[in-house]
Parts: sequence; C-alpha cells; structure tokens
Amino acid sequence: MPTIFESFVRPVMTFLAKPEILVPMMGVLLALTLKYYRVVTQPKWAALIGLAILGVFLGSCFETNFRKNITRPDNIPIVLLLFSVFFFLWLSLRRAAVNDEAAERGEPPLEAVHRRETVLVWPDLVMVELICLVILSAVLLFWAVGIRAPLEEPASAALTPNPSKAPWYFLGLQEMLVYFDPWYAGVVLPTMIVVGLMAIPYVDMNPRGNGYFTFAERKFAISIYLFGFIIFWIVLITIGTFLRGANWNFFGPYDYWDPHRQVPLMNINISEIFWVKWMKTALPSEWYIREAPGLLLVMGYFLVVPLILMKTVLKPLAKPLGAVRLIVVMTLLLFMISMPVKMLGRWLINLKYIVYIPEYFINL
Amino acid sequence: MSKRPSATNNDPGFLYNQKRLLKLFTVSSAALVAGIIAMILADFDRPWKHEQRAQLKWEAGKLALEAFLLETTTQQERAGLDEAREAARKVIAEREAALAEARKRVEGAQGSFYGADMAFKAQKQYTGEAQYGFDEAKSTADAERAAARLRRERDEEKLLGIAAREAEEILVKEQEALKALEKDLDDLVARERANPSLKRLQLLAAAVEKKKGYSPLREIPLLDFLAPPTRVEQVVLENLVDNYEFSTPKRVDRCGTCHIGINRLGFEPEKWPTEILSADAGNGEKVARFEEAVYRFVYGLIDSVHPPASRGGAFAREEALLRTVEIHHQALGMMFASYDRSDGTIGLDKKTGRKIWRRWQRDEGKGAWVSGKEGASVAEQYLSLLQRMESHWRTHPHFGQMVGDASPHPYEMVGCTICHNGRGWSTDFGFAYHTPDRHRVEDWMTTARAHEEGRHLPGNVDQTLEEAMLHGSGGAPVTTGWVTDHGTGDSWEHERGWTHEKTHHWMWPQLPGMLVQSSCLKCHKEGYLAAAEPEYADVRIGRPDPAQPDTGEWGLHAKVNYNDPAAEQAGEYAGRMFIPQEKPAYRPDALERGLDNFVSFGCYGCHKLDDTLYPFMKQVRSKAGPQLDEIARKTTREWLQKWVWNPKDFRPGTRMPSFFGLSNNSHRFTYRFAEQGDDEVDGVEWSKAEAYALVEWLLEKSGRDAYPAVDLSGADPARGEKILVGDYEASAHQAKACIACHDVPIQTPELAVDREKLASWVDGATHRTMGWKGRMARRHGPDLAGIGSKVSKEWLYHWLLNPRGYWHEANMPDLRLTVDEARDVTAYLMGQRNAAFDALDGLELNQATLRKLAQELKVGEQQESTSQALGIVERMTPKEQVLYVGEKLFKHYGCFGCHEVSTFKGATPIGTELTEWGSKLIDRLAFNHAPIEHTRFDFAYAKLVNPRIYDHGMAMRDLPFERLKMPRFGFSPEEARDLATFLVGLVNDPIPAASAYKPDTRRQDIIDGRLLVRRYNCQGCHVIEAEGGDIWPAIAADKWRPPTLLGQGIKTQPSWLFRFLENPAFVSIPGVQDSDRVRPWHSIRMPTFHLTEAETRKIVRYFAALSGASADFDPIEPDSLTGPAARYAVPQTRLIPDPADKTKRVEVRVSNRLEEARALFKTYDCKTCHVTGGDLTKAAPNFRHAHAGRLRETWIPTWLWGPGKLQPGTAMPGFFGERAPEAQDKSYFGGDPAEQIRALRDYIRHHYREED
Repeated sequence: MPTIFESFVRPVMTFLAKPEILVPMMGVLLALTLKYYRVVTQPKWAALIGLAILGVFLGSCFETNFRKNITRPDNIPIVLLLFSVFFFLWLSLRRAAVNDEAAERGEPPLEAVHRRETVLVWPDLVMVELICLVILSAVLLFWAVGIRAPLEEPASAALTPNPSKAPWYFLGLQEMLVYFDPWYAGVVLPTMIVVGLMAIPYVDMNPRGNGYFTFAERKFAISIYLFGFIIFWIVLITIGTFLRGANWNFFGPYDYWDPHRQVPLMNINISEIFWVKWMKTALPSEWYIREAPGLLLVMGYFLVVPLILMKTVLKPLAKPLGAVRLIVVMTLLLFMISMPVKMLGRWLINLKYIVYIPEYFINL
Repeated sequence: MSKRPSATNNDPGFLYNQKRLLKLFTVSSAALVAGIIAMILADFDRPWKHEQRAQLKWEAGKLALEAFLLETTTQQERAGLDEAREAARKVIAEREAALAEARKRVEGAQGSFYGADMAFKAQKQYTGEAQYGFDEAKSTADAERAAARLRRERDEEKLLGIAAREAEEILVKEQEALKALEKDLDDLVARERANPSLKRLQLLAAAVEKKKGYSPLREIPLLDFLAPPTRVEQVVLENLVDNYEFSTPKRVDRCGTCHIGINRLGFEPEKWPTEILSADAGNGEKVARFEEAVYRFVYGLIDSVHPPASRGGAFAREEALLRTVEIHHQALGMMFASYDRSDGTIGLDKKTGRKIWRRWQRDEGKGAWVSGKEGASVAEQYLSLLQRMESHWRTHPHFGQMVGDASPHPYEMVGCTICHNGRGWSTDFGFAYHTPDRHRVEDWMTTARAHEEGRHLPGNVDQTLEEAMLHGSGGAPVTTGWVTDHGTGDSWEHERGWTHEKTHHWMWPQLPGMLVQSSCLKCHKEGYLAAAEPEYADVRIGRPDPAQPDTGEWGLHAKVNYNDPAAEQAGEYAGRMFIPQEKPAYRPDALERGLDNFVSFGCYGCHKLDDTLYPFMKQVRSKAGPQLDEIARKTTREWLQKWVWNPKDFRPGTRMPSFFGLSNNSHRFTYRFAEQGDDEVDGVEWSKAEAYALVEWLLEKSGRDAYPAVDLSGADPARGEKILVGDYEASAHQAKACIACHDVPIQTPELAVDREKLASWVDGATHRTMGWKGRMARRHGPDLAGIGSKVSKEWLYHWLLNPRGYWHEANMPDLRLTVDEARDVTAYLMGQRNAAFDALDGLELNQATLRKLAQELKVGEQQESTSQALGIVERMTPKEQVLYVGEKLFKHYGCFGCHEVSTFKGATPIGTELTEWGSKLIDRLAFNHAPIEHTRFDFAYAKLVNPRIYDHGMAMRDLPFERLKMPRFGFSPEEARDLATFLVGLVNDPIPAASAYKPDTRRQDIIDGRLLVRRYNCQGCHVIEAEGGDIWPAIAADKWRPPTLLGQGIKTQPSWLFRFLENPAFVSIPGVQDSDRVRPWHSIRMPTFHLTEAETRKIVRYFAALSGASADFDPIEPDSLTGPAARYAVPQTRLIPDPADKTKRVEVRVSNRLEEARALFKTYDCKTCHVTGGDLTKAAPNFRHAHAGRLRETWIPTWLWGPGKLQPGTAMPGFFGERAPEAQDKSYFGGDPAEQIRALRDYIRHHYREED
C-alpha cells in the first residue's frame, strides 16, 4: 500500500495539482459541465461525482501532510467553501436544467409555480431568519469552543512568516502575483473586477432569465461569470491555501512543506525570446526598440483581437449591445482573458514579462 | 422546502408548516443553549483554572492545618498577650508623658538660648561702635573716656558670650535627652510590634482570612466574575521588553499562574526530611520504614509545638511558633518529594494515618493537648496533602540567586521568560511553549561516546561518529525528534497534549533546562561575570560579643566594622577575612566552560564576535595558534606534512583541528572539473595534494635564516628531566613546574608523577574540561610527548631561553633558565620522539592532481575567462603551481584565523559572524538533509561534533571548494555541548539599559582578572578562588607547593604585588640574594610572564577585588608610622580584659612593651620555621618581608588568629584561636590573646632584628 501510494498516487496527485495542470483542467471540466449540464446534474450523476470527490478527499485524510493541511484551523473554512461551492453549483445548474427542459416543453419555470405575490412577515420571514440566526450562532459557538484560534508568531516588519499568506479571500489575488507585476495583479485587475461587477447591470441587455434559474437563455453571461468565479477565484484560492507552501513554492497535496526545497526559476521576457533566442543578438539598449515586440503584442491584443472577436464570437452581441456597451464588455473581457493568456505563457514558454521596462517601472 | 405548498399564488396563508417551524426553532434554540453552556464550561475548564483549583484546595488544606496548629497554641496565649499589651501601653503612655515634658524643656532652652544669643550679638555691635569711637578719639581729649567705654563694652560682651554658650549647652543637652527618649520609645514600640505572640496572632488571622478567601461558591460559572478565586498571576516587567522589531512592549510573564511556589519559599525539596525522601513506599520492611519516618515527622511537628515536658503548662511559645512555620515548610516539601507520578500513590492512606496516630497516642500522646480525633485528623490531612503536591509548584531551585526578593534577579524585576524563553503571557501549557528538560542530545551524546570508545580517535574520517549521530546505536535514528523520543516529551504528550508542532510559531520556545545558562549572556556580556563571587565576612578577633551568637568556629561575626576605633581601643583586633565558598550558590558553569573553549580553541579566529558587545573579546590574544612566519626554523617539511594531514596523529589532545580525511572529502566524487566536463576524483588523493601544497607554501614563505647551531655535547638530559618534572627535593633552583601547563614525558620511574591523581585533580578542582575518561585531557600548553620528532634542537633551545623572542604573543613565560639548564632540557626533550608518528610516511606530490587543483582554483577566481585561466596555470612551472595552490588554500581554509602569517595580515575572517547567531531564524540554518532536530542548539552541537555533517546526503556539489570547510576539532561531547550553550546565548535581545548588568569597579576587576588568570594559567600552580593548584598532587611535600592565593588581596600590599609580578624573583635588582626571597627554600620559581603594565595592574586589582580590599597603591597605614613608635618607647599602663571575667577590665602596668614583645616572640619560637638570615632550609616565609612593604598591616593579626582558615592546610600552628587556647603562653600581656597578637604584629613589622 505505501509503495503504491508513494510510487503512483502521490506523484499523480502532485502532477494533477500543479497550477499549470489544475487550472486548465478545471477550465475544461467546467466547460464540459456547462455543455452537458443537463446530464451531469441529474441526481445520480451528481451524487456519483460528489461521492467520488468525497471519497478521494476522505481517502487522502489517511495521509498525514494532507490531513494536517486540511485540519489546520485556518483552512477548515476553505474546505467548507469547496464543498458548498460544489453543492450550490449543482443546485443552480440542476434548477436551470429543470427549467430549461420545462421551457422547451413550453411550461413555466419552477419558480413561476412557486411564486406568490405576498407572504406573511411573521412567521414566514422573521421566524426563518430567527432560526437561521440561532443555528448560525450555535454553530459558531461550538466552532469557537472546539477549534482554538490559530495563533501565529507576533507580527514583525522584519520577520515575515514563511509562507506569508494573505487572508483566504485574497489568496486568488496573491496567486495572480506569481504571474503579474504587483501594480497589475494588485491594482489594475482588482479594479477591473470591481468595475466589471458594477457594470453588469448596465451592459446586460438580456431581458430573460430574471427570477428563475436558467442556463439556456443566458449561456454567455453565466459561462463568463462561472469561469471568472470558479476558475479565477475559487481554484486560485484553493491553490493558494492548500498547494502553496514555504517560499510560496508549489507543493503537492501530500507533500511536506519543506522550506529548503529548491525550485528552478528560469523565466524570461518576450524581449529576450525575440532578440536573444530568435535574432541571436544582444538586447538593444534603447527600451523602445528592445520592448518593441512586446509592445506590438500588447497593442495587437488590445486592438486586433477585439476586431476578430467582434467578427466571430461576439458577433451576435454586437447589435443588441450597441457600440459603447460593446466596447465596455470587450475591454472587460480582454482584461479577464489576459490572465489565462499570461498564465499559459508562463507555463508553456516560461514567460516572465511581455513588456519589461524597468526604466519606467512598467512591466506587463 | 421540498414539500410544495398547496395554496394558490395569492393566498396569504402560511408559507411553511408552522409545527415544523416551531420544532426547528425548539431544536435550534436547544443547540444554542448547549453552545452557550459549552462555552461556559470551556471557560470553566481552562487548564490553568484546573491547576489553580487544585492548588487552592491544597493550600486550603495546608492553611487549615496551619490554623489548627496555631490555634491550639494561641488560645492559651491570648490572655497573656492582652495583659502584656496593656502593660506595654501603660509604659508607652508614661514615656510619652516624659517625652512631652522633655519637648517643653527643649523649647524653653531654645528660648533662653535665642535670647542670650541675641543679646550677645547686639552687644557685639556696641563693642564695635565703642572700638570705632576709641580709634577716632585716640588723639583727642576724649581718649580716656572712649577707652573706658570700650573696656566696659568688652566686659559686657564677654559676659553675654558666656551666657549664650551656657544657654546653648543646655539646649544641646536637652535636645540629646529628647532624642534619647524618642529612640527609647521607638524601640519600645518596635519591640512591642515584634512580639512573637502578636505575630503569631497576625499569622493566624491571615491564615483564617486566606482560608475564608477560598470558597467553591465563588467559582460558580457566571458568578465567578464577582470575586473569582482563580486568577491569572502576572508580572509586568517595567524594564524588559519583547522584541517585535516594530515595537517593544513590556514583557508580561504569567508563569506564576501555575508555578505557584516559584517565587515563594517553603516549596524546596532540599529542605525536606531526608529519611522520608529516601524511604521507598514499596513493600514490607520499606513500608514500615516509611511509616516510621512519617510518624516521627508528623508527631515531631506536634511535639515541637507542644514540647512533651510542658504539655498542659506553659510553652516556650515564641520558639514553638518559629518551629511550627519552619517545620511546616518541611512538611510541604515532604509532600512534594513523596509524590510519585509514575503510579500516583505513595502507599499511604487514611488507614495508615490512623494507625500511626494510635501508636503515638499509646506511646507519647497520653494527656495530649489534642483529642484523638484531632490528632488523627492532623496526620490524615498531612498524608492527604502529601499525595496531592505537584512537582511544578516547587520553589525556584536557585531561589537565593534568581527569583527571591533579595536576590540580584528578583521576580518582580526579571520575571521568567527573559531567561527561560517561552511565551510569557500564555496560560496554556502548549502555547507557553514549554520544552522538555531532558533533551534528546543527551542520548545522542551517550551514543556518540559509545561509538568513540572502540576507535583510535585521531584516525581519519569521523565516519563512525557521523553514523552514530545519524542513526543512533540501535539503527533507529536518534534525531527524529521529540515525538518519537521516549523521554519526558513523550509523557507530556500523554498528560498535557504537548507536541513539538506547537512550538512552531514562537521564535523563542522555552530552553531546555540544560541550556538556560545561555540566557545569562543576554545581560552579562562581560563573560565571566556571573560566576559566584567569593563571600566575605568581617571578623573580629578576641572575645565574642555575647549579644551575637558565635557563627564561626573561632569567633566569626558578621557586621563588625574592623576599622572601628572603639574596638581597637578595647584591644580587639579586627580584620576582614576571605571565606572561600565551598559551594557557589549558582554558577553558569557550562556557559563559562563554553566561553573558555571559544577562546582557547580560537573560534574567534574565523568567527567574528563583536567586541563592543562582548568586551571580553578585547582581551583575547589576536591569534590562538603560533605564528608561522618562521616555521621553517622550527621544524621539518616531513613533520609539517604529517601534521597538516592530521594533527591528531601526533598529539591526540591538540587544539589544532583536522581539515582532511573528513566525511565530505574522503570519498571518491565526481564533479565538473573546471567546467571541462565530468571528472572523477579520489577525495583522499585530492586532500593530500592540498596538504602538500599548504606545507610547501608555508616553508617557502617562512624565513630561511636558521638559528646558530647548538652543541648539546656534554649536556645532561637526566638533569633536564628533573628540571622539567620538578625534582624539588634534590635540586634547589632547578625545578620548573612545567607539568603545571604541559604534559611532560617522564622516563625515570622515580620521578613519575601520579598521572591518575593529577588528572582527577584537574578534573575535579578546576573547571577545565577533560573529555571523557581523561583520554582527551587538554592541558594549558601542548603535550610534550614526542616533541623531539617535531622541533629542531636549535629552535627548542632558543625558545626555552626566550619564548617571546620567537613570537611576541607567546603564552609561555620566561623560565629564566641558565644556558646550561636550557641545554640540559633541550637534550632531554630532543630525546623524546613519537615513534608511531615518525613511522608514518610524508606526503608525495601528485603533480597531476595538483595541476587540477590549480586550475580549479584559478578558474574559481573568475578573474579571467576559463580558457585564459587554464592557460595561466599551464604556463606556471610545477613549483609555481604548488605555491599558488598553497597560498590559495591557506586563505580558503582561513588558516590565518589562528596563525599569524605576514601575507594575510589583517585578512577578513572566513567564518560566519556569531555576534547574533543565537537569534538566527531556524529556517535560515542550513540543516540540509541531516536528520537533526531543527533547533539552534542541535545545529551548533552537531556542527561542532562533526563540522561537515550538513554535507551529508547532499549530492556532491559541482565545485569541491563549495563544500563545508570548517575543520574537525575533535571536541568531546561535553566540550561541544558547552560551546553550543555559549553559541545559543549569543542573541540579539534588546535589554534596556536600566536592566543590563553593569558591573561596579570591583566586579569589573574580578572579571578582567579572571580572563588573565585563565590566559596565563595561574591556577596551574596556585589555588585561586578555591580552584586550581593543578600540580599540587604531584608535589610530595606541602612546603614545596606553590602558595595558595586565597585572600591574597588582603595579605600583600598592591605595590609589592605589582613589583613582584613584574619581576617575580627580583632577579635584576642589585644586591638581592636568594636569602632575601620570601620563600628561599622553594625550588620552584615562579617564571616571569612579561606582563604588560596594564595586565599587571589588572591582576593586582583582581586580587584586591577578590578579597574586598582596596587596590590603591601603598595605603598609608596609621599604625606603621605613629602607633608603635609612640606606644613602645615608654612604659605605660593599659586596660585589658580581665582573663578571669572577660566582661571586666583590669589595668596592667607594662614595664616595657618592646621587651615584652621580644620575649613573647621568642617564646613562640617563630624562628624555628620562619626563614631568618642565611638559613634557607626552613619552610616558612622570610620575616624580612614582613616589613619590606609586602604584608598589609591588618593581615598579620588575622593570620595569627586563624592561619588554617585563611589558608587551609597550612603548617602554621594556631596559638590563639579558640581552637588552641592551650597553645597560648599566658604569661605575657596579662594573657590577653588580642594584646599578644598586636604586640607580635608590631614587633615583626617594626622592631624585628635578625639577631633576635
């Protein structure tokens, strides 16, 4: 058993958990889920998938490092988060599948059946809220008594803990810092996220799907949202919590977080790829010549790609949205896609920066 | 939710099933209540509360007993006490009345004085006016009248002046009377307050109060906020801080919450009845013995409170009270000591208690003052308390030194964590970061030792030791940590949920007991700080003061001012006596040894230690090893090669470390040779080429000019041997105590020193380390066995004559040998060869390997491109390659850290700076793959024992010169442990100036002196601070022993000591003969150390400071100038104590003190032993020096009174002490010992003539 575990299970799991595998894999799984949502959300399939995940999870608990990691008082909420996200994703897609099937049959959605104009504040609303409050308080009390606050070393400007981790809700951002410069991952992207979320009501011209679960009627919006939320938020938080160890190095789920582990860092810039590798010359000394390839790429991304998108994927949206909305959606989309693009660059060609102008502190 | 409502859309009926909702609400509410209860229980159940509850219950039991015992004695006392109080009050009232009267009188006197004084001062004005008038009228007709007026006024002034003075005298007298009255009254009040009965009643009241203070009612959850019986005991340390880099909050220690006895007396096991400690409650006979012990103990207690004779009557109450308290403390101790955790019982129960009680009642308790029930209850309660005492409630084991209010480190000032580390404000066992005391390293040391046993230590490759460290004795790793260890850590896991994991988040987990000493360095950066200081007692010689009980065997009293003129007048000589401490209160011995090792092994040569932080570093020699600039004059190429290859082949105990043949450079290894591709290299061959090159470079470097040839023909090796060993009997002026510093090879069996004895003496009496089994004993200087194999005879001869001529920092003193003596010693030592070493082969040059080395090093310089560098090497001649490699390696291995070589003058040390090593984060220590427990101590320890251990399991690094290069010193496990203790203490912990240790001048003198005493190995010959005298056992007769220097500071005058140290034999002073020396019979001569003036002064000040005397040079002692001359010239009478009744004094007429003193001197036959004139065979110091500015005035009487106390084992008989009153001749000076001593002193110092 240990030999099979050591020779097979551990390496496979470590491989699967690598960000360059895990993120695309989750992306593909999500895409498949959305494509076959009517099938996989059927209770038997969902239960099967759920049980499989639970089985792997519980089976892994026999491994010491994994067990220690998930039972660390800090990490328990993240475990709960994983299971609840899975549950609610199923719930919403299941409801959507039921409603979409009903719609195809010409029937009203489930919510329409349940709908009523009024309910009584007491007891229907207040009582339920009260029960919720009481249960939540009881849970928190038991939690606080049972699991002690995980105290760490006293904060010190000179001594940072290793690994230094952000609060769990920022771990996604921290993971992005691996791929981007701080001003981009820490300022631009979060700003775009907030702005984008605020913009949704204004750019969403689709009148359907209000007040009931549906997927068929809002495929584009839901897909984009789920990719953003599940892949670029939840998965990154998971990676940051469970798979990023000492020195922010990657560790497999069953690995001990050894602070002395050596990891090669051999990332290079586009300018180096272009000039040194392809052109076989030294880097030009002037930054605008040196970074010309990168700058062209960025310009191309923000100018040419929209045109292509407009002609292809977003073509059906162009008309209903109108120019301003289209440009806003396009920009948000480009920024969102820039993330996987850069990540792929890192994973595939060890890309460090597309544009690297330390002279002006601009790195992309 | 799943149930679908049947109502239509607009039906305002209930959305949910109300019954189910209510049920859900009920259940969830119940859960909430349960949660709240759980919260309250969790709070109630906190471990420290548990702890305190147990303590409180225990203490309540103790207080109940105390109260019971106090009650029974006080009942009968109260009435008497009230009476006494009433009487005292009356007296006080009377006194107060007298006081009021006295005050009134003072006021009156003041009034009269002011009046008289005013009149006097006014009259002075009139006199002045009259004077002026007189001057003006001198030549006028009024002259006569003016003169008359002046006379009148002057008379008046005189009278008024007298009146004013009289008034003033009256005033002063009245004031004094008032003061006396006030003092009287104060005394009375104080005495009244100190009444033991009163105290006892107060104690009782306090006990009752405290007992009342504990009530389980106050613990009831939710009510316990009112007056909780359990509470966190914390101490906020005003002057100590926690260091969080960005802020430094005050330290808060809450350790006292659970360690209740830590800063209180009464919980110390040392004080507990030994018979109970040793009694084992196992079975049969032992149980009986145990019961017997308890019986005697418990009823001894009762008896002490109520002595059988006085039972039912009046007791010696005050005594009884004190005994009660004291014995009670013993009882507490007994309880603790007998508590055996392993099975939780001591084999005693209530039944046994009753049994014991019945026995007491039958035997002794007839007519007892307590009822049978009460008595049984006392016994039972004691036994029950006994079983419930926890070991961590004990008093701090070094209470007097560490935590006590009167100690230098009071609890309120220093707390706990500043020394012990851990997290002071935690009240949770785990989060306080406790660490088991029994460190696994001890096992490790045992294992390492077992592995060392069978093998030749100096051999190559310390593989075995490494294996021992990595794999332990039984194959299981010893180093996998606390968790698998079946030491204390294991039982903590079971009992308290302790895991090593928990210590992860705190940078300063508690230090295990064996390392606590390292914390001393935080404040005491001076090094030998802290060592216990010698104790002093002021002594008065003569009649003991009846008011002060005799504390010594011959009249030792504390707190007597020896300069008190009154005591002097009364004929009582006084002096200050040095009392060597037998057992220092607390001494950080491991830390001191670590520091010693750090200095003597020259660790500072490679590892910098900031001397502004650690001032003792300013006093160490610049290099620990000898200079190498002239090595070619000293030895041969072959010897050097073998020595560099492995010094321990030649001299197992040498401090010179081995660089080659170690675990990371003895294997075959593959590396990318000079970036030219893989190459396989034999590590041993490679190392040999390195050693070869090093030697060649050294020889090339060192000067070629040889010493002039020395002809040893006609030299007498046998005499040389005697000089070396010290044949004290046979050869005056020849013996040199070389064995004090060196191991000396001895060939003549008669001369052989009992080495076992010598070794054990060294081990026991000094704190120099011996290694295990004495095999690795390191004396101060090198072992001289086989020295003939090493040095040239020319070098040795010149070295013996003038060691500092070869190297200015040599520790070897100038022995002042004659040329002939030097020849003899040289001849003898050159005959001592190390045959085994001679038989070893030297190194041969493998030019190919050497070229590789040269290429590797040249490429490694990164000054040229690889091909250029290789080209440079190619163009070198073979010789140049060797020298190039030698110089590079000399630098690479940092040889210049210990050896002075002109090429590398001022080069930067190569090792890690250690100034703040103890603060280094554990994550930043490169343990690599060595399975060593990740603590700073373990890192240092393993590194010291096997310096290359962290290359273990590392794939050989590409560049051979990247491997670890610290050499192997061959530390014994103890040496390594002590050094590691020292290293762990080198922390960066900001201690505010207010709390840092600032030695006063005297302490600083002691600290400075200790460093010098160690550097020059004074303790090799002399006993200083009750340590040393290493060569004593080797010396047959006491009289040849070097003098003990106990109390040296009060004995000799600083100026004399200074001159002596500069020139111990006074050799170059014209006209000084042997007969003029202090100990002319002594054949060992103290060598000349050529100390600098500053060093000499430091040593003089050190001795003075040790004895608590002044180091001011040449203090003028009044007696030496005026006293005797005046006193002895004329006959006089003296008041001396009546020999029959010492409380009275009688007047004796002394016809001529000088004559009487001379007669007394003859009576005691001092000259039988003391050297006088030309006879040098006697064995007591020369009297000449008594008045040659050598001895201090006050020392002689002290010495005469008790020679044995000042110098244990001295041959000087005591004539006066109370030990030997019969030896005293009573026919002089009225038989008064004090008077006789004084007469002898004066006679010896001022009037002694050789013909007497």
